Amino acid sequence: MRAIRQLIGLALAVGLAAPPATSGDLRDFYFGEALYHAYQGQYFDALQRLDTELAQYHVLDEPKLDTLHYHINDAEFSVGDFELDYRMHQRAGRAIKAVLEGAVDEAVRNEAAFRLARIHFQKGQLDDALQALARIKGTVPEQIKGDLEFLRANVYMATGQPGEAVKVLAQLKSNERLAGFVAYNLGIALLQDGRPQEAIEQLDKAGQLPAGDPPALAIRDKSNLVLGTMLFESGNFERARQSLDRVHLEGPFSNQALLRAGWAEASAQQYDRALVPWNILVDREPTDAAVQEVILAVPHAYASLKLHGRAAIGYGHALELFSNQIERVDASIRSIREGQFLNALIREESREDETWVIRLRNLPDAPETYYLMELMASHDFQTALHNYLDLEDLRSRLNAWKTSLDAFDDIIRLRGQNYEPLLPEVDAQFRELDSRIRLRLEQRKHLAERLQAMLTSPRPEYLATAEEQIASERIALIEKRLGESNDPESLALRPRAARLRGTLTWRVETEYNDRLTAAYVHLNELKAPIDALNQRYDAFIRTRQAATHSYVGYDVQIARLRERVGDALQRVDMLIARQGHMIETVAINQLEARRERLVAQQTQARFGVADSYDRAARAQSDAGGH
Amino acid sequence: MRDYSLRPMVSLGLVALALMANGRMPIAAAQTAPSASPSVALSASPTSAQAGQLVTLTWSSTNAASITLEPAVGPVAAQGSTTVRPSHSTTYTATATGPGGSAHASAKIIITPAPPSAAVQKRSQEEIPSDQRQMRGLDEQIQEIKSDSLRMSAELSQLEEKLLYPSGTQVAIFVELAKGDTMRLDAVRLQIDGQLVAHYIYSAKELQALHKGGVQRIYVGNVATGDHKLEVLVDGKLEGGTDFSRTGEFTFRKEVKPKLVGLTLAGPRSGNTPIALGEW
Repeated sequence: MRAIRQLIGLALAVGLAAPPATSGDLRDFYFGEALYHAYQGQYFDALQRLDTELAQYHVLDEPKLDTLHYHINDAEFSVGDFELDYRMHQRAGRAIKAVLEGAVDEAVRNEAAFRLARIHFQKGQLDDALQALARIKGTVPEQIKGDLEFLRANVYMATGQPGEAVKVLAQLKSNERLAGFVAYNLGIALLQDGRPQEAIEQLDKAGQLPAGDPPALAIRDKSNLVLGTMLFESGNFERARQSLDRVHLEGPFSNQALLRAGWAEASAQQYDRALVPWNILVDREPTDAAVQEVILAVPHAYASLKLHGRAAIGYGHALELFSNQIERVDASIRSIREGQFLNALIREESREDETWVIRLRNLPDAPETYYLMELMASHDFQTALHNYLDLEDLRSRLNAWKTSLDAFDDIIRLRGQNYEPLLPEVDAQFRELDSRIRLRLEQRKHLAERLQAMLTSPRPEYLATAEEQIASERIALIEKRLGESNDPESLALRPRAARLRGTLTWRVETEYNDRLTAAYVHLNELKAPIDALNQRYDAFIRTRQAATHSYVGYDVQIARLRERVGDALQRVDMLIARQGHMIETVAINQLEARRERLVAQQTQARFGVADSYDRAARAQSDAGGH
Repeated sequence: MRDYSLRPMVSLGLVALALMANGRMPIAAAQTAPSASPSVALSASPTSAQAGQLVTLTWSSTNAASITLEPAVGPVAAQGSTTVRPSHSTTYTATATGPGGSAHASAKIIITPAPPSAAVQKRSQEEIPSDQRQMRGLDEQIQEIKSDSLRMSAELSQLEEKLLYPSGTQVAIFVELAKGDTMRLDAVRLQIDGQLVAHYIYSAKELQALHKGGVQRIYVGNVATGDHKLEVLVDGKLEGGTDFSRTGEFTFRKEVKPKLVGLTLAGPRSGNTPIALGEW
């Protein structure tokens, strides 16, 4: 049944893989930037960017004017996906819940509920997953319909309701994208529902579906492997062999399939036929458990065919191989204890793509990985490994932040040194200029008000030229001197003065309108230089403020951050040590278990050698006797 | 619950076969053993298991020429151990036979029903093995430190922005590929007002992220308010491997708020403008 559980795991993993959500054209650069990081597996950066964007978005007065508005649901969904990808299960789902509880249309709410259910399912919170699924009502977006039902069936299977799962999966058969997984899971659901015969027929179908890509091929192979094993168990060796023969010879299940195909033949006493798959398997990677098993099975088959000489040679090879492998395992255990395994893990080149765990075995100086493939494929161990790498990544980030904080301190100190002697003088000059500017602006304002008033109550004398004003004053002086005197000279001069006054008044009065217009024109001409002056003034104020902001008011924040970074570094160091130790312990336990098995197999091989020689000798002496 | 692993069958078969040779007690020696009555002891560990779980049988004997372990195991050495994986409750019997007669010993293994089969099962705390418990405990602490670090990172980037790229002078330049474009982008070089500000060479992973629709922030810096000249040079390869190079020259206006400039790049054969500028 263990095999079946692993198979279901694969079907789920593939069916539930969630690409980051993007629908439509990208309108928000920062959301695009978060996706750019996520597509490269840099989930920390993706999350940091998106968290910041969402936090800013949610405090906007008019969020509809922000470019993130076009992607807000996708962004909230993506946060959940990234959190899961960054193995932050506790946080995952919070952003999606916000969508679910917000005022969104039915389709969006249903998608949110689906995503939430998927997160709960992946976290193993099955009741919550069921609750989230129960919230889905009405319109479901077309693109998630298949995935939703597939998830529903998986939740039913996980909660021990295989009958319900069968009903859902039966409806999903026509989904081409999920065909292999649906067919396989339906077989398993039938089996769990106590319908073995139907399960066999279903797995038989699943094992013959066309498969275009590696995941589909893998699930088809698994279908055949499980089916072959079930048929073998029920004693139907011929059909078991047919099913096992369908497993792709280069696929990940081919070793198990070859081994079991051989046993299907051997159980039917067809040892010569059993040797066909076994002899293919025997030359494969000697660290594989199936290969190690077949190394003993092959001479066993020869012995059963009474070819004791060949059996003895086979057991001899097995003995040698097991001895070598035990040495290798011992070397691996030593190497892990020396910390080599963790060193190999954190090497940059070993993590360039998604298959890094698989490729680890090809790394020089990492013998320990040979026997850890099975362990490394397990979800918990992978999470532990990834967490270890995440911690290493956090450590280097925290160290970089510490350096950044030091650099910020330097910048602030240098800026202070630069500005502090300059600013008092700058401020003094500015104050002087500021008062002059204010005076001029006040004058302009006064003029404008006067002109405005003159529109309703004309005051021609205000628009007299300087010359006219002087002339007017001189005439007034003359008029004063002439006074009320009645002497003949005064009497002669008074009309002249009156004419001069009249001429001046005539000019001022008749030219008043033109002069008023000209004054307006001149006042308007002042507008451009005053606007420029205001701009320069504002720019100076901004620059002056920026100068202060560039070095004042950071001390507390930086000191607090430095303390937090220091604390975090200590915690990370402690967690790295504990996580590393745990990984090493689990790996060593696994290797010790394999070692124990190898020792048992070595003993079997040793007995096999002795027995085969004994039988060969007896056969020879029997033949001699006759 | 049935066990679909065939491994025990192989090992049992081989144990039976191998032990018949009886390496510790040669057949000749057995033949000359004194005719004292044989004795045998057999034990199982654990005595209670779930179907398919490995159980170890251990036995020892005296004065025996042969030992047989039933069911399913067969002839074995005078003493030793083997593993079995019974699918139902089974009583294993060891029979020792010698010139002085025979002796029997038995051990019962009780198979308890397995939990209902399911893809994912919730297990109570007591059922989870200690290393897994430890793994989960650590996992929770790791999640916490991740959360803390994300918060610190956000605060630091805001601080960095305030200190190094205040909004009054900040300009950020982003690069994206036109939708569905298949060109292989090698490098992008940017000059603002004749000064080289960025020269970025793309890795395969970064290029893939751009092809999927990601947007790269290629440059963040400071410029004064007013108009600025942006020169862009794009180097890449066409699907056939031919090199191509495109340049573009644009003007953007920096105001008091932060300036975001987007460059949308397209291959020469796509029909789109090779370098398009968008402003936010």
